[in-house]
Amino acid sequence: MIQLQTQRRGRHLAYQEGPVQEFEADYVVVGSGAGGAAAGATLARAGFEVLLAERGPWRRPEDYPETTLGAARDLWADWGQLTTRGNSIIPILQASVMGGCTTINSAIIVRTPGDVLREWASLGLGEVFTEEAMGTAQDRLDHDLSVAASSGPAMGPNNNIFLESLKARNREAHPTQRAAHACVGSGQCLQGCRNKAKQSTNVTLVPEMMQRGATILSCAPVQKVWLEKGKAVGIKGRFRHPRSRRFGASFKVRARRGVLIAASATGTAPLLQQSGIKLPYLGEGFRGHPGAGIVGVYPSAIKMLEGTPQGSASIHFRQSPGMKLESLALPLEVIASRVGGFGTPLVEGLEAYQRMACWCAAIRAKAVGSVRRGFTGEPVVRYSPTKEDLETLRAGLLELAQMHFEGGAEAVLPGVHGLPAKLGPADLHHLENAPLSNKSWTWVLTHLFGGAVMGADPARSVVGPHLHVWGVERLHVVDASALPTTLGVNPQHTIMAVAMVVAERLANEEKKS
Amino acid sequence: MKPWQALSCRVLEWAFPSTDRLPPMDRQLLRDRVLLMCREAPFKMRVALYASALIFLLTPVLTIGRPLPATWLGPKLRERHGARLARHRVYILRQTVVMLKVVGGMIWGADPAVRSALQLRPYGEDPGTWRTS
Repeated sequence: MIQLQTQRRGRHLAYQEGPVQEFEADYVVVGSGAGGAAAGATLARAGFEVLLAERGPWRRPEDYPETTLGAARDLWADWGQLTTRGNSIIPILQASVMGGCTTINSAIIVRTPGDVLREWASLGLGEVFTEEAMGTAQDRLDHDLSVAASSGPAMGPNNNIFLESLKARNREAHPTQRAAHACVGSGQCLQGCRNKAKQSTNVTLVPEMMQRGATILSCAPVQKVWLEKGKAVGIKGRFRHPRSRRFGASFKVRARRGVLIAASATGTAPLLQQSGIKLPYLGEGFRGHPGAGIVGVYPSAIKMLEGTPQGSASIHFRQSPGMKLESLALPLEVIASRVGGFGTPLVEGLEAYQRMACWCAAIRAKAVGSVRRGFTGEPVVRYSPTKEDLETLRAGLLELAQMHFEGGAEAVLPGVHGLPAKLGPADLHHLENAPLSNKSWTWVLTHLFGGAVMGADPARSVVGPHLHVWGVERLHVVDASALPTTLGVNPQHTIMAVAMVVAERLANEEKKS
Repeated sequence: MKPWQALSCRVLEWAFPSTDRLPPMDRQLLRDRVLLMCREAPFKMRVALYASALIFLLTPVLTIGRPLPATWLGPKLRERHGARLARHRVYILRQTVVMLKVVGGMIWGADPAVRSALQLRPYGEDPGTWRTS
């Protein structure tokens, strides 16, 4: 955990009404998720005056909702209604709150795999993101965010059966490493951790920035990057009330040294487009880890919500065919949409909730899409998993179904259109031959990358190896939108380390000059 | 409550009826939550909910061959209509049932009586607060 001695105090401003508010800082950071908070904290530690603008409100653990409907309203972007446009509708779960997705994820921490860094090196990015630089940044994060393997009450039956079933099939299996301090396994990661265990950036790095003198704006969506003569000189935006969505005062922030954008893989490219930046590859290279879950119904109580929702995982298939398997406890409210039928059969199916275990496969997808700014300002994501991705997902769900039966399940609920709602151990041939159509599967898209990808060639990238936007001085992108490839693992640690490496470099260069 | 809001409540009640083991969804809770969504949810979400409820009402002819609105069907036929709509070959039609289950599930699954019957911890109130200074 982060413990500070004394520093100058910063300030926080939430929704404001009235005349235009003007600010000035050395660096302006847009977005408070993994990338923005890590970059902002690094610059603040180096002694620079930082202003961070977050579009959502700042909620403390005592402000977090209890219900899933409350989470949709208070934490998720657009009530969880952002979806892809393509040959099927795939929900994209993102947060709109201080801390970004670190507030609603399971705080899973995975070091950047060596093969990913080697792949980046082959794209001309090896000079900056070396194993040493990334390792040093991740060591510091591990310490600051209390990273440790899930254990004790954080495990629970759902995670333990998952691990045992993997081991029985001779698959790699491990409890997840998480940024959580004294997790009691309340199963409420998705609604924000009311127990203050999860070390999301709204309770760690952002307060640290404030203690180091930063100004934090919440409820402050940025409308454009302020450009003058090919140089980023600040940002402009307008406060927005988190409940009524009414616009309040406009704000302008002048940046003396630079602007760092970390508005998420669905937000950064549209913001750059809105700011008048015209680069051929802007909005392209959008990638992700789409996934789906399969529910096992067991003869006795599992109590899926006892333990952390994603306490165990396997990277056995990460390289080939390219997927990660995880336990994933879902609340009753969410699992209702995964059970077949309507009316009495649906509710009768849900009566078995306490005997259900949900596990998921997240695909290292080959699909590449795009993200653009829509007419009303919302992101438009065009993305469709390929046939190869569907084959991988089908193989993943088949593996999970077999694991469920290995673990003692009576039946599995595949949630695939065209298949029976419930499959027994003798029915797995249905899943083996499930249709390879996106419209048949219940996908969810998480772990988003790209839209403003880094590269050595300006014709095939938006930012260079130091994450500077091509053709614009003093403007950097420090979030997942800069990552040029999928990772095959949870990306929070990589995003944070990338942001820290670049922010440290910026700080060192500024100090030298 | 406006007619399309009342229709949405009605269809959600049909989706999550009582069973031998589980009580019916609390009508007041359902009404409050639907009104909350109508007040605060993004326009796209509200339209999707109303459209899904309307499609459910008007499509028994496509699923069970009855040219009647779903309100005129008995519970058994209405459930058969819902189950067939959920498996309909037209993607967008079956997505309407997903929408009803997503919204209805969020309300039904938070009902204290349902949670108690399933031995789940009851939820407290969502504070809906945020840091203002």
